Amino acid sequence: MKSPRELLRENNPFSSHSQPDPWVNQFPTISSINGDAFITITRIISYKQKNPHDPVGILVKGEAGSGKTNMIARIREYCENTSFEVKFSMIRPIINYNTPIQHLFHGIITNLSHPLRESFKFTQIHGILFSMIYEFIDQKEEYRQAFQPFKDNPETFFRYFSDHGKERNILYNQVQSWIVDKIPDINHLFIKLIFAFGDPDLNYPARNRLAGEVADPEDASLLNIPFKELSEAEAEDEASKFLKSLGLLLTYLHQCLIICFDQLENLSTPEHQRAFGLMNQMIFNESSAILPLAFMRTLYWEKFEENLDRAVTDRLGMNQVDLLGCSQEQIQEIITSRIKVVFPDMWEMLADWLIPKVVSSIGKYPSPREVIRTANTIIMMIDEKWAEVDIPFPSPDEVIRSAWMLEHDQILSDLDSWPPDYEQITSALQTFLKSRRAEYAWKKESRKNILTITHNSKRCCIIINTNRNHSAIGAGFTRGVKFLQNNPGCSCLYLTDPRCIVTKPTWIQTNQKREAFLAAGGQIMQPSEGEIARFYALYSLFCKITEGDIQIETKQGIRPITHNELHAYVGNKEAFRSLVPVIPAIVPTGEKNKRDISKREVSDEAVHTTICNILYSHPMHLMRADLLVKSLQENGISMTYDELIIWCGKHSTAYTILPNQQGSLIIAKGKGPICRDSP
Amino acid sequence: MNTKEISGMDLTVQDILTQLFDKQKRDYLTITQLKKSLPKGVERILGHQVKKLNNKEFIDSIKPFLPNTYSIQKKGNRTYLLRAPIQDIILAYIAQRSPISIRNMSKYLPFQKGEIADTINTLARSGAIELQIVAQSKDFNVQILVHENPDFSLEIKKAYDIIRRDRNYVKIYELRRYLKWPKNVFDSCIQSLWDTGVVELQASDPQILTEDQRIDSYMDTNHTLRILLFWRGA
Repeated sequence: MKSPRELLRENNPFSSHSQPDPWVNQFPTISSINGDAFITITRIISYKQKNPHDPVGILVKGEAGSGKTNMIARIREYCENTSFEVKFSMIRPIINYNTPIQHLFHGIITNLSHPLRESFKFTQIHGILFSMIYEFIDQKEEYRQAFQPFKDNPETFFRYFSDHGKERNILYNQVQSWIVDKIPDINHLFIKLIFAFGDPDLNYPARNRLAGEVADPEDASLLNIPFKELSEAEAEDEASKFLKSLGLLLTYLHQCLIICFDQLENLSTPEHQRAFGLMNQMIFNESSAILPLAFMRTLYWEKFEENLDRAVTDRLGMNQVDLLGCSQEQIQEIITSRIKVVFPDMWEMLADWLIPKVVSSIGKYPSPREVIRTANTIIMMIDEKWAEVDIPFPSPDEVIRSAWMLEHDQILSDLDSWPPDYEQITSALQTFLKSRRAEYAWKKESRKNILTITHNSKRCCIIINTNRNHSAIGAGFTRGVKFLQNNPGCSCLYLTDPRCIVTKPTWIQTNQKREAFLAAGGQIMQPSEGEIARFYALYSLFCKITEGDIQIETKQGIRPITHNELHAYVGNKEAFRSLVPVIPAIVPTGEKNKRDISKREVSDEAVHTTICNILYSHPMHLMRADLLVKSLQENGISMTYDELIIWCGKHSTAYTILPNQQGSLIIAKGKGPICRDSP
Repeated sequence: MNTKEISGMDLTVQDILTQLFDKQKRDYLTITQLKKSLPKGVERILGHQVKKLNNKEFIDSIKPFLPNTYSIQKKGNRTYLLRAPIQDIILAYIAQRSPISIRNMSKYLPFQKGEIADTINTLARSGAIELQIVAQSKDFNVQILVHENPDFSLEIKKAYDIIRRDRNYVKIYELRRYLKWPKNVFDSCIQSLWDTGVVELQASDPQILTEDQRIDSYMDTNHTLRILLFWRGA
């Protein structure tokens, strides 16, 4: 019989202590932790719902590990419990401070279009649409009876109408005219795009257009909207109009939208801080039914408010909430709840062993992270005489490697939270190049970034673009051709996200430019989803390090990991694989398609059955993801590690992905059927 | 955690000295006492045979290994090694013997009269001690008292409420500077309030503070610098 320590060490529920993403539920919420802060927040949310025009904000202050991201996840859960009558969004730190409102609205749309359940790509935008339809039908006696079966089930409504396009279009047109009549100031383009979003055939272009991407005349014609390329100022103006319209719509529907601004410590320059101020000015002064929440470390706020407009600091700071440490009961709850997730059958014995040890070696009011860290330390100690054995402190490389793996797998399991973003890809690439001590120059051009690397008098130009617009893409290729003509013998990469198209057959001019680019020696790099997740993971890790969120235990106490340590880790070729191929290596552009085809050969049900068979023959129904990949192969299913993580992320009601020292653990939640990807 | 035995193996000079002072239950030792009590292993660290060194040579060899709070003090013919600031040693001495006359104290402690007078005045001003004039047959004497259970909590709460203004916390260095209490008094007070759940001490980000502000914050027993204090009022 294994000892409690051995059991816990094998499948350690405490090896990671950070909440990965507000959209991911790894461990159950413990409602009493920062319960007062949460009650204050929900009270203000209710107030905002009743008083949509009152410009209120909330400032949530907490130290690293005090549960800021966990609080955001809890607010998302709260929104979910209101059936998303209260809408949820979370905004990442702004990179391009010249476009604050576009950044804000892009972040809002990313969250509002995030799938809520795996059964159907139902989103918060579907919820808005359904509320409008509900209100409309409520006033039309003749429709009420027909609508009855869908009344409390919006998902059934959209499922039904996805097969009845004609009826849907008639209904949508009527509701659209009705709502424009009810809210005369609403932007017509905005409302049209919201309805287009509810059409499964137009969902994708409508989402992109709402997020500020002007694709091409073909998409505009599909959406039945005029095609116009927007200047930066016009795009900013449009985002403002869309934001105001969203506020008007929510006000009419008696709903509201929460905007959580996280990782604000990354707004390091006064320009970035002012951009944050402008977003809030827009929310407070020109929008309704939108409630901003700023999450920040306590002392940063003191510095931060010096650079913000007084009106913004007053309104954000009028409701301040401080996150506090845990009571003894809460310490017990944290430990018990984590153990229960991994050991549902023997949690009691393990909790009884661990809790007294943690309580006796921790100070008063520890932060949740301190509790988890202490539990992990005790589990990792060599034997029962733990007090007399000094465990070696982890090296910065070990801490970063573990944080990196967690970040990568979490992003990969929920790529919907990370839409294509050339600014984030550029930022990751800059971190990588800096770490490898590469000499490079960065230039921002319209809708794209250019990095020019100089090495041994040879130069390589990387054009980073994630816009799905034909002229932006074409301009990227033209830029590449010019570079190659002016720099004979040098190389040029066009880098984009795998979810972005490079060109369409109908884009004649863009295709010509692409051909010219390839003929001049240019290369197109469109990494796989697993590879692009590495870019976003590096960017996210950098932000977390700026925030002081990645910490290391040393002989001199606990301290945050530094950027220099991150650079040292990424700079080590053996520890960190290159983000870009060694230039001018051949870029394997065809590999992604091959994998897509092979994936389609096996149905989701077959994968689910095989994974269940494997996991349920294992103790605790869990397995390390890399070992599961091998077992799947032995059972005739070929999947890479990345593909397995993506697959389990898409079926999160059936599987939990837990971070572990050697990569992710996959836990089966139940043998029930999984749902299909699409309706 | 376990107490390491004095063997000289894997221990720093600071570890060895701390254990020596603790064993003697004193905050000061003469150099001669110190030389006699040091374990053999220390010679490996100092690079000299302690017995062969005169006091001056011994002081020179040990000085580079001493932590900041340690100092060398002379009184009469004797040279002492102190392990804490004078103010802290005097207060600890009084606290163990209160009430004590200033004359007795002066006789036993290894400090000059001027130093004692300055320290007592500072401690009296800070409220850490109380002075009482006692009439004697020929003269007056000064008795020094430390309340058995002084209500430090009340004083700290008063200061906390003044400093925090509209915030729910104070920075520990601001509280320390406001109260101007001796370091060990302040530290033991907030540690005791933390242990009993009256306050919560949070770590925050030391990089935001200046070196002085960091020094005036509070280093806990796990070597984590605590910067913020929240009144939880259990």
